[in-house]
Amino acid sequence: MNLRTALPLLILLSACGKKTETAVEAPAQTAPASVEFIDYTPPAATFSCRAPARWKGEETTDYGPDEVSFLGTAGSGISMESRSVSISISKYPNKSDKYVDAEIYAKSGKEISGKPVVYEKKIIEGKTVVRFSRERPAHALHSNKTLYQIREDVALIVVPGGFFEISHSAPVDAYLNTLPVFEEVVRSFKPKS
Amino acid sequence: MSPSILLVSWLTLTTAALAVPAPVPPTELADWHRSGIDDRTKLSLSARGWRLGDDGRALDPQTKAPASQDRLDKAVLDVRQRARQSALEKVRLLLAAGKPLKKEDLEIVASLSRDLPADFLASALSAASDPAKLRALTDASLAQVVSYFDGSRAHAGHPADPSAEPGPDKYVDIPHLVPFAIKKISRDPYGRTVLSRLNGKNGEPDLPPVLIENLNGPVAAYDFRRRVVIVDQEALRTSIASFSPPKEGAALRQSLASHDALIAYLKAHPGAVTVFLEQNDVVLVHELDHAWQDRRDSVMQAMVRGDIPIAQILEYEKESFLTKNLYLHSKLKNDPASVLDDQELADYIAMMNDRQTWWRQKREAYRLQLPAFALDLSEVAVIQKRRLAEARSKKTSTPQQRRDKAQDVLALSGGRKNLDALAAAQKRRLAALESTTDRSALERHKHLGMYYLKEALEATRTTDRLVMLQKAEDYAKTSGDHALIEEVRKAKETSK
Repeated sequence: MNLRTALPLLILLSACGKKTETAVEAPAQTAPASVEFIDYTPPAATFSCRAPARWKGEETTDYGPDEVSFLGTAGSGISMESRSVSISISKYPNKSDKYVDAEIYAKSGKEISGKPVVYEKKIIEGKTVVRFSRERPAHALHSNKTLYQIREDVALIVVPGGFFEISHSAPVDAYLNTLPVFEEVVRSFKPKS
Repeated sequence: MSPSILLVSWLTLTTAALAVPAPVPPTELADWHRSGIDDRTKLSLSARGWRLGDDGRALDPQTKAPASQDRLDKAVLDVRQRARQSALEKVRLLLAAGKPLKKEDLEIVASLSRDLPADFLASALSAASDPAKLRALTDASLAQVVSYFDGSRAHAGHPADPSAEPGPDKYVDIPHLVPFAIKKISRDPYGRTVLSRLNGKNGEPDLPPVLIENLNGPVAAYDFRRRVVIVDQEALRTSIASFSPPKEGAALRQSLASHDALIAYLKAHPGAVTVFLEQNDVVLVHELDHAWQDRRDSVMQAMVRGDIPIAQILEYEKESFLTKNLYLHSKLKNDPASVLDDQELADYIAMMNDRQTWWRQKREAYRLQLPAFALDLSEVAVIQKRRLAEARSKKTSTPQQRRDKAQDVLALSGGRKNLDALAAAQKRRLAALESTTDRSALERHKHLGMYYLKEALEATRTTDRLVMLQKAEDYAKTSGDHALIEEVRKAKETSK
């Protein structure tokens, strides 16, 4: 029997977070036809995934050898808002971080938002993935002025001893434009052991 | 109240020597109101020592007398040429990989377009797929800017001629602010550490002067050119008006529209300065950390001399954010009553919760909002390397040109060494700060639980009290502190 189909849909509420555990494997999303993808592997070769070919890739090593951000655009304009789209990948625990459990990490978002984080656990392409989304204001630098609202979609890919975080960040009113790109990155993500 | 800006990133370089001018005939006097100067240029002029009066007069940084229109126009052109240089060097960074520009890169070029030559963006768009062509275009534009400033290092009296730099003495400090700030920040143990880094020869804190200017958004800034902290006049007015009923507050705000009126009010009302500091001490600690960076390292002053590209170095920003949040942590631990439930506390919580995501978001915001100036040290080093290579390859034909070239190469080589030293030192410094932050993060739940319990007990509205009690309960449970959990339980019982 397929273990995934044997499990019933389960909704768990915890003190800090709300979890939806989906037993059925999530349907594989197809890559958006209008976006060109490449196969990407970071210098540390700790994972591979498909990545948007025409987005700008920025590899950083602030918190480990596996950090990368793909910077895209939300629209055709030249405003700051249209440029504020990114898909970032980083590994937890990093050299100084404490998070080793994806669900505990997801729940911890309550500390920032003040509200329980509603997350779900899915199996995508054989990977255990914890998914949630959140919103936050984009402030002008060092100012109280809110420029626009940012929507973040987060996928935590569970691996032995920790997890990878894949985060899609875009203006709330435009995030749907680039969400399929994020879904393709998540779908194609393969941690290397 | 939010943090502040640490460095006014678009501050540009003053290199032109300023001759003693003849008295300016009244018909030739500058009126900056009529000059179409935008807010950013105004800030840059202020950073170069200009004082733009409410009456439209522009006071020359050297003579302190009203300047002529020609003199002001030249200063504005200098500012704009430096901004153009930074924008073109950013484009050059985008082209460093030798690959065609991506859409994201072109969006960055477009966002820089007001500082680029008039037809640059259109040319860049048409040459986007041909990096060699675009690089040639960028280099040609950069060469024009460089030739504009040719020989300016020698004329400015480089290497270090303090007399060429305007001092802050002609500006009016905010009355009472420095002694009150020392008193306020030194109440906290970590605050005393921050202040002690700025100790003068007499062993007492020697804070930089604090001025009022219009920053157009940020609450405060550290201006490394003048080596002063700037407080935004609008933020001050808001703070002053916040303690009056709306109608009186609006009238008071209006009466403080001019710089002089604001200074006079603060001089007569020291309490208003105290209130501002109660609301903004965390922001000030952030700025004071930048002042320490400026005294400790030679990089900012090398920027002023033109030995290193002007940049808002992200590693410095990270250090100052970590420092101000460690100060906030210390306040939560030692004097929670002094902590405000504001954007600073939200920033502290976000950092303590997940520093990795916190910094990624901050870094992205900087790079998005200040594309030409928010740079990693490694990027500054790339620009520096190119500047040095160009200086070395410059052809000379006269003795003066050879002297200028030698001076340039010497200064830029020194700048490169400064950058290398800073990169190594800053890496160690940040690692130590992050280690301290990690240790502090472990105890935050208890402190935040106690803080929100206190806030709940002081809340006058029932809904506020319930929200605070819920937060207190969450933090208390996470901390595992049984005494605190019990205290919160009792408070919840009582509030039913």
